[in-house]
Amino acid sequence: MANPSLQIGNSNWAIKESNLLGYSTAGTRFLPQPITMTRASAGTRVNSQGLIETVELLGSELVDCSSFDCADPAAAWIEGSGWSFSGGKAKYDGTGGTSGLVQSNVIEVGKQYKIIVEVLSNQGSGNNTIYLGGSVVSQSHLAVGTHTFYGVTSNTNVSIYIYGRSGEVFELGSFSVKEVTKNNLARVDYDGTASSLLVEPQRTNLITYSEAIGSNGFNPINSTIVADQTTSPDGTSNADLLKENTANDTHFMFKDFNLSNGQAYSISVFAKSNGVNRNLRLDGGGVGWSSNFGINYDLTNGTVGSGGVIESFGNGWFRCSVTATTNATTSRLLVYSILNSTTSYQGDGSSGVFLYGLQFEAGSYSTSYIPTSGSTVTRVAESYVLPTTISLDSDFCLFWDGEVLEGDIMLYGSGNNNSWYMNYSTGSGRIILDESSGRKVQAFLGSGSPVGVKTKILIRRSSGVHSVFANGTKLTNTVSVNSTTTLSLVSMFWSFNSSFNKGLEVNQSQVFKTSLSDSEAIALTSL
Amino acid sequence: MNIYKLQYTDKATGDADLLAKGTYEVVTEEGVTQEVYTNGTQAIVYIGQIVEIPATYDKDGHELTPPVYYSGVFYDLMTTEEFDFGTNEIFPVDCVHSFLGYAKNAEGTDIDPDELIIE
Repeated sequence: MANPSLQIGNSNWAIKESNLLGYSTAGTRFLPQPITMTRASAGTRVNSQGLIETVELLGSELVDCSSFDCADPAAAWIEGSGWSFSGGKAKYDGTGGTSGLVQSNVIEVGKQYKIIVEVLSNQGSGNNTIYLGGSVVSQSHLAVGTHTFYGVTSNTNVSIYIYGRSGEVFELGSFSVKEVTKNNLARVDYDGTASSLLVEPQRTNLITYSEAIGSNGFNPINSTIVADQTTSPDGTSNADLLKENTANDTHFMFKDFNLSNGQAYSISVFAKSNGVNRNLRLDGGGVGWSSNFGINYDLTNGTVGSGGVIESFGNGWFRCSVTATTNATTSRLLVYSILNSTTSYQGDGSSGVFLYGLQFEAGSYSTSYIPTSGSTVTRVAESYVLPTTISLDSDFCLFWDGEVLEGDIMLYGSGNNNSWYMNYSTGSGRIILDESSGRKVQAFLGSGSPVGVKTKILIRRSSGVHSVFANGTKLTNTVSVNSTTTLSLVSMFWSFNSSFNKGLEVNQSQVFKTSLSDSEAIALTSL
Repeated sequence: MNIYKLQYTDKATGDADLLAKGTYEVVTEEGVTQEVYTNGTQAIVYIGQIVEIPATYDKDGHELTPPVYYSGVFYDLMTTEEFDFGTNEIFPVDCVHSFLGYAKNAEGTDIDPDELIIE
């Protein structure tokens, strides 16, 4: 069977979304193809629990008896004076001075590890230093709870250590070490109802402390910035509070940023109301913006004034964002706690807004969260390419299903330079297929649509004739030139951009080396 | 992976040097001219000027003293290739910019992402 197909019933295709129903490796019509994904930095996503996390791949547990519940913990661990094991706990009784719990030959030099420590009790305030080989990964007093650290050792010491302090009883429920990989991992992002592949351009968070917001040099006016006041959207207790004082005045913090003149910047922050009718306002202060902004975000009802964007993240948290263009090299950002929509009010000395994940990036929309801690940080662009070029001969269909987060995106093509490509422009709704010899087909999906709208697009070439389908409709071609040129498919999506990719959320990407019928193409592209 | 910290007198000089070394090329598609990374370049980050001494303000937001900047402008380049940037390459000890997942002060050649601490 040279070119098998799967049919069920009376000429009906069997299509099962999300999971592959079945395929045959015989023939050339339908073959699964590997895709090489690269991103030379880490990246974050929203996981299926709705929590923000850095995408990572964890290895197996490297610590023997990590939960201290094996038959003989003392055989796995080297316990210093004052340490003992019982009932699935490691306990330091405080009698051995600064005394360590050690396990040897756990790690390898040069690899990166994730360390998770569960603290059941801890007296005093002494530092419970943790070593990964010869490198310190934590040097602080560990409160009761679960603590996560990342680290690497660069010398020849391949043991792990944690220390109790003199006179301080210290109990551990577990001590876990796993190898971790963060780069070159695809990101499946959840929005609460569905998941999609997140593909984003290079972006830099210009905020140097995205979570320790008070460390950024903001000037608080009639307010204070208090660290670690509630559980943030990443599930840990690291959200700060912009706390109002008792003045009958405005309550805000502000800072001037050194930016590029004439550049669009997007500002975003996760915010949650603390107190009665306390809301958030982001304001440009009339300093350095071509069109000043002042956006009120209702943190109770999840609504926002004109020009702003608000997105619910559950548990009272909203991601609030605004985009504006500079007209100077110094531009100001003011972050207000407001009462309903009033900026000047009598403060109560304790209310305000919780803040987390402040992000300030050059670009026309806010991308996924880029955590920072002491410097500006860049997430590198993602790239999806086919390691083996697919040759598209006479007939083919290119199908794409997802959301375009920026205006002009390349969905399929031969690579970075102009040879051939399929392009979709949300601003005009234009869908095209260009070859090096010129445009072969052009059609319009309405007169354009806002970015971030789910769209299904299919371009078909059958016996040299092109057709365009989108959202369950066969569109009218405004350009139509026959072609049977063999095309080499290399890239799944990229863009005319210094950082290649623009923003995408991809649900499906399929290439058919055959032409579908009109009814099949309409069914496939129906929303 | 290699990360280079670079300093130039101005942006035009920096852009020209990075272009001459083949870290990116200028491509025109549909009448739109864009810069496209080439030859193993993963990212070019134009940091611009770096503040040495921050500005100070009064309680009403009026600037009391302006910021003081280090001379020139700065770039970070992430690439799989090795280059000789001569005196334009610098080795700061407390970097103002980093790449997500890399140590804040990662610099120079032969940086393996797996060898770096996440802070």
